[in-house]
Amino acid sequence: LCLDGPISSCEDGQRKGENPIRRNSMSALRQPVALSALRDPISIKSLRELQVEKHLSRDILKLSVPELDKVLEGLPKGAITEVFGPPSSGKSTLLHASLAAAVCAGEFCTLIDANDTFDPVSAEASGIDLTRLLWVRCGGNLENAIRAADMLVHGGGWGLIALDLGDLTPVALSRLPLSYWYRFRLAVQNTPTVMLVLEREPFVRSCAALAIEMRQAQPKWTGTHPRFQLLEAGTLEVAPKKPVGKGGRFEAKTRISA
Amino acid sequence: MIACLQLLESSLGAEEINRIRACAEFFAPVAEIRSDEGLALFDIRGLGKLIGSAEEIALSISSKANELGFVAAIVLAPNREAAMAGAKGLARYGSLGSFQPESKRLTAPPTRWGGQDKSQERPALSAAELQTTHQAVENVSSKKPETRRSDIQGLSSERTRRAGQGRRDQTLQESLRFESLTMVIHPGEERTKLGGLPLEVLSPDERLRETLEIWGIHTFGELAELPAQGVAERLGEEGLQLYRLACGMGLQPLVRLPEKPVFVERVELEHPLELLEPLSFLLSRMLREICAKLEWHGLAANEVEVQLELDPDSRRDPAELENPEELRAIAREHFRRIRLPVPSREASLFLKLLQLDLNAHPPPAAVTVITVKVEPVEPRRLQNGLFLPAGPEPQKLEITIARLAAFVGQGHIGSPELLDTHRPGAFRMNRFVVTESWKQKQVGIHWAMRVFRPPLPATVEMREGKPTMIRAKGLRGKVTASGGPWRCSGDWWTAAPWNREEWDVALADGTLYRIYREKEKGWFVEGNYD
Repeated sequence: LCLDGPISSCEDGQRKGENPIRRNSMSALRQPVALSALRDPISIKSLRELQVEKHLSRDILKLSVPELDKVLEGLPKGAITEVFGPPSSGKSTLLHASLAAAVCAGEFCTLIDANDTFDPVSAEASGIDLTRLLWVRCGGNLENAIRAADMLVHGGGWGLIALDLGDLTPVALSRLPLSYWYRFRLAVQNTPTVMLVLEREPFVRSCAALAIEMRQAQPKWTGTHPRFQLLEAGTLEVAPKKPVGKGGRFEAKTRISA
Repeated sequence: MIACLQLLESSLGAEEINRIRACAEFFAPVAEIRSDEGLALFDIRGLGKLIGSAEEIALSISSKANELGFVAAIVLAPNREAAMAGAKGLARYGSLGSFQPESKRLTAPPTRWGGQDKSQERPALSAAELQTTHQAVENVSSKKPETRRSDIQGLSSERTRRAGQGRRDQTLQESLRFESLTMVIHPGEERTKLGGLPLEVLSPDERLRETLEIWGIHTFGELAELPAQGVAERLGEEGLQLYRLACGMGLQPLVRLPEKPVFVERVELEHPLELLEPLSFLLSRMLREICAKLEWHGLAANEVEVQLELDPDSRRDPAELENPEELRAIAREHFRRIRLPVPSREASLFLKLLQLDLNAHPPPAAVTVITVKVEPVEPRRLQNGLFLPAGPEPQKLEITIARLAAFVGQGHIGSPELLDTHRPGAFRMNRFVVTESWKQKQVGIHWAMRVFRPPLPATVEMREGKPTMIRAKGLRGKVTASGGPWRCSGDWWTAAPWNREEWDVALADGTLYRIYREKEKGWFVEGNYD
């Protein structure tokens, strides 16, 4: 990654004075350019800056909800987005919002549900047209979920592919070879597909272009008397980890407040 | 000139229709086939240079019909409507003049066509008569056209008798070379030659038929003698059209009706097949042939049926062999049907789907006969918007879904549809179809649930009417805050009523769950907010 940044910045610098033919030949010979760039302290960028640059250069799927747009710019297309957090942190809420945004943009979406925990009722309340969602229920079988994801990712044509591993234990997920994630990353690369992976802990790591940590929600109850109250809403917290962003909080409604 | 073939057989099976189609397509590239009426119309212009006069063409058509093994009334007329009316009349009444209305039958002389009254019908042709007829037909080819015509007309009346007698003498019938009834109506002869036909041939509607009955109009000739303007004034557009048909006027050109041919391939095997792999080879060949035919016809298919006839002596399941008689009665055939959301004519797609289906549902015994049938439909024509996102390719997606269904289960893949009920979490799985339109809904942030399927049975401690402690499989904690109860019930008018009170509870570890209590069943954890 450190070499990628200086190469591009060096090429930008050379565009001013050099002819384009030489620039093309220089881009073919990457190693000398990178070394020359490393000698120039101005062109060296930090890892974070490179991540942000790369993230910004991608097409993104806007979530189209004002509260979420404040805390997240969107989900990158042609890359894996990893959403992780403990139970009741809002992973599924973010998933539903992403699915709704993709469907509203006219995309077809698929959800590979490893533990069969998807709730169509709250999904429709989030604004998802369920006819454009292919739901694959794997009944707790991780191997089936990975196989299904692989087939659907390679099938192509999806706007959003969500792989929900949120109820599987970290121990089970840690047995997955890292090569699976590389395979998924390569499959979605150069496609307009957003791949969303939900887990309790981050496992996609370097293969994810965007990693979002969700923190446990603060419930909001109606009424003042503890004996007569209902769950009204929850305040969810988003903290982008890769690239590191400011994040923020947003409120999710329940059936009482919706 | 237009030629019309009308089948004389009462049964109009697919085989008979195919025969008249073959006969029509032998003489003309474009034919109008009316399967429901057993009728074929085709243009014979230009055949004069190849065959000869209209009469010779009629004989050639009759000869071809004989060769193909069917008997028909063949009428050549200047236009489509006259040919059709003539052929129908000839097929129904034996000759165009044999019809007599009830009121005139006893008094009036035979009409200008000089047909026989049914009461005077002669018995079957004697051998001598038949020989005479045969000779007359033989002589036709050596005579000039003018003389042949009269011979053919004379022959028609002989054949009429034969048709009326129901072709009782099979031996004599086989010895007759030309069996079909033929008639040539030259331009200008429409009124005179069709004049004796009853109006029933044109199938007028009930109101018109009654009116004409009151007027004493029974035949084409009687209607054609009326003034056109008067008919139009009194009977309207329908009456005028009937009048034009009775006058033998042409109303429309030949219409090549779209036929829906059934594409079927059948293979009878010398040795029963037990494995799916060789079966796939045969299916592949059959599907390729069917798809080639579909492509040739510009059609596609969205449904494939495979019927496998089984060898009852080669069953593999030993449990079934205990009662072989019952076994034989149960299944001699294995039937599978594949449906596609969009029409296709790719043999590889059908084959892959069939392979997946047969792997999931293999035939219980060795296969002796394979029949593949597809239902032809119009192919899918679609132009996507330039700025609309492209969805998954339907054909490819169908295979992917079939493959996924093979290992996750048939009911575990599709798009969910919420049911019209208040029962919590009621939905059904539908087949996922790539559609072009979608519902634009209001997008908002709704706190999602992760549902436990099935709900976790739980033990809940209550204090002062509120839950304080929960224990379930993989879940245990002290309740720090709770909201509820949220009472709901439904289906009390059915055999499966439900009644529950729900609580939202926050545990000490920060997680939020929805729990509920059902009468007589106890506590359950429905899911958690996430």
